[in-house]
Amino acid sequence: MKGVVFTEFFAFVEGQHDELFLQELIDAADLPSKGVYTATGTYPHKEMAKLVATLASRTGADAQTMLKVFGRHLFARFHSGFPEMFVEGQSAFDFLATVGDCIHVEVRKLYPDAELPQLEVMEHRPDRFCLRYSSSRCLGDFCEGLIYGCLDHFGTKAMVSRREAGTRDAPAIDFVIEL
Amino acid sequence: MPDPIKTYQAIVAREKASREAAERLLEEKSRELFRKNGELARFAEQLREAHGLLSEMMSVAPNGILLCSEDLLITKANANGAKLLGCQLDAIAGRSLTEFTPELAITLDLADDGEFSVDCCDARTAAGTPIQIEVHGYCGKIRDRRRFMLLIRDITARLEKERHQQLIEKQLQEARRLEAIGTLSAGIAHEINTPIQYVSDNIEFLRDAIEQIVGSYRAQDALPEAECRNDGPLEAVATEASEAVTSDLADLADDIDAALSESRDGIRQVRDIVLLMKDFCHPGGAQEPCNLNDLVRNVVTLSKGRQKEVVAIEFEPGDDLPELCCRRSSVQQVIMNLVLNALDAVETVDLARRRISVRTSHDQQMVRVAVSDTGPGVPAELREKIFDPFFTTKPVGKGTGQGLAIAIEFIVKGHGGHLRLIEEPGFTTTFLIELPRHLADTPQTQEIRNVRTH
Repeated sequence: MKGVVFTEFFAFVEGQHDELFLQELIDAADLPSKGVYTATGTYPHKEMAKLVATLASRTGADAQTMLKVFGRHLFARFHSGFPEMFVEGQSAFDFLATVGDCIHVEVRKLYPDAELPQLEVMEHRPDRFCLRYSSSRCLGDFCEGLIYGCLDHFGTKAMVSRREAGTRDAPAIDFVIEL
Repeated sequence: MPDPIKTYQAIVAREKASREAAERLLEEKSRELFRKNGELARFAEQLREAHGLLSEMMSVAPNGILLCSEDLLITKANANGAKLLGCQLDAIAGRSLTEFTPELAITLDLADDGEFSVDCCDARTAAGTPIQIEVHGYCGKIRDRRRFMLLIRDITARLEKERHQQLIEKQLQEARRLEAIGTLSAGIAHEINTPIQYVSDNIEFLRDAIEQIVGSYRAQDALPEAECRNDGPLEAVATEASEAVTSDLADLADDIDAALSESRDGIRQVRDIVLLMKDFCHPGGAQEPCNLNDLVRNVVTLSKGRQKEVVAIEFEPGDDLPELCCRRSSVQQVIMNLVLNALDAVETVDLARRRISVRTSHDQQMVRVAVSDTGPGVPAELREKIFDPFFTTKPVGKGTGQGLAIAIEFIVKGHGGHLRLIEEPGFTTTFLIELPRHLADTPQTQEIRNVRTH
C-alpha cells in the first residue's frame, strides 16, 4: 500500500485526536515499521489493517465504519493533492468511470510496484452507476468511503448499495450508486 | 497512563526516522532520476539517429513513398513521391490521391487489409502530364489508425521501351519469315515451273490433236462434193480418209484424255503450292483447330525445292493425331524454321549420310513434333546458347539468329508448350516441339493490367 495512505491516516487520526494519541496508537499496534512512513514509499497493507483495528478498539467504533470514514476523508485529500486528475465539468459518475482505466494507469507510471485494486464499470447510466471492486486485500469498506467522498466532492446526492460478486477465490463487490 | 515526555520522545524519534527514510528515498529517487535521465538522453540520441537515418532513406529512396489516410488524403511523402507527382515536398500533404490517380483511388477503396500490388495504373502529375505507375502497398493499421502506405514507381519510360522492344521483335519475326520465304522461293519457283511446263506442252499437243480431228472432219465433209464432181475413184479416197481417222482416233482420244488429266493435276499442284505460300506468308492469325500432320505436310511440300538440292524428308505421321487449337501460321513457321535448319545442316555432310526425319506423336497431355537430322550436330558448349536471340552458327549473311529464339517465343510463350534439344538414336540433332492439347491462358492473352492482393 502506498505510503501516502498511511501518512494521510496519521493526519486523519491527529485531526480527530492529537499527536500523543497517534503515537500511543502506533505503539499499541506494534508495527514492524514502527510507524515510520514516507508518502512515496510502499508498505505492507497489513500494517494499515492493524492500525485500523487498534484505532477501533481504542475508540469503541467498529473497524468497517472507521475505514469508511477514513476513505471519505482521503478522497478530499486526493483532490487537493492531485488536482490534475479532475476534469472541469465532469460528474461523479464520469470521475468514477476514469479511476480504473485512467487514474490507476497514471499511478502505475509513477509507481510501477503499486498494487492497485481492480475497478470495473459494470453500468453507467445518467441515474445509475455500478462499479465492481476486486482486490485480494478486501478493503471494500475503504472503497465505499472513497465513493462517498467522491459524491461529496461533486455535490451528488445518491444512495450507495453494495452486493457481493465474484467467487470465493476471486471475491468482488458491486457498488450500485443510484441518484 | 503513559508518560507524555516519553511519548513525545517517541514521536520525535519516529518523525526523525521518517525524515531519514524520506531523505534516503529522495536520494534513491534522485539517483534513479539521474540514471533515467542518462538513459533518456541516450534514447533521445538513438531516436534522433533513427529519425535522421529514416529521413535520409526516405529522401534517397528511388521509389516514391506516400502515406495516405483511409480517405486517401496524402499525409506524408518522400522527395521522390512528391517529384513523381510533380509537387513540392512541403505542398503535397493534405492533397487527395484521387487528384493524381482516380483509377488507383477506386482500387484502394475496394482493397482489403494487407499487402497489394497494382502492376500498371494511369496517373497524372500536378501539371496534368499523363504517366503510368506501378504500385506496391500496404493497407491496414499503422500506429493508431487504418492507413495506406504506397511505394510508387514511374514506369512510363519502361513501358515505352517495352513497346519499342516489342515492335523490334515483331520486325525481326517478320524478317525471319521473309527470310524463310526467300529461302523457299527458288524451290517453289521450280515446283511451279515444272507443272506449268508440262501443262504448256499438253496444251500444244491438244491444239495439234484438235487440228488433226478438224482436218479429218473436213476430209469426210469433202467426200459428197467430190462424188458430185466425179473426181475419180471415190472409193479409194473414202477408204483412205476413213482408215486415217479410225486408225488414229482411238490413240488420239487416249492421248487427249491423258493430256487433260495431266494438265488438271499440274494446275491443281500449282494451285496447292500457291495456297500454301499464301497461308505461310500470312502473318499472325488467331487460334484455330488444326492437325499437326497437315502442318508438317505443308512444310514438306513447300520445302520440296530445297529437298531436291539436299535430301528428301522422311515424314512419319503419328496415328490418330488429335487436333489442337493453336496459331496455325506460327506453329507452321516454327516447323519450317526447324526443317530449313535441318536442310542447311545436312547439306554440309556426305550425300550418303544425309537424313532428315519429321515425326509426330501424342499422349493425353501433349502433341509432339520431332525434327531430326544427321548434320554436324550441336556442340555441347553451344547447346545452351542456341535458343538465344542473334545466336547463329551459319555464315555471315545467311542466318538472322532469330529462328530458334522466335520458335521459343511462339511455342513456349505463345502456346504454353516446350521446345527442347533432345538425343535420338541415329541422328545427331533432334528438336522436339511439345504443345499442350488444351491450351491454358497464355501470357499473350492475359491482361497486363491487374490488381492482386495477398
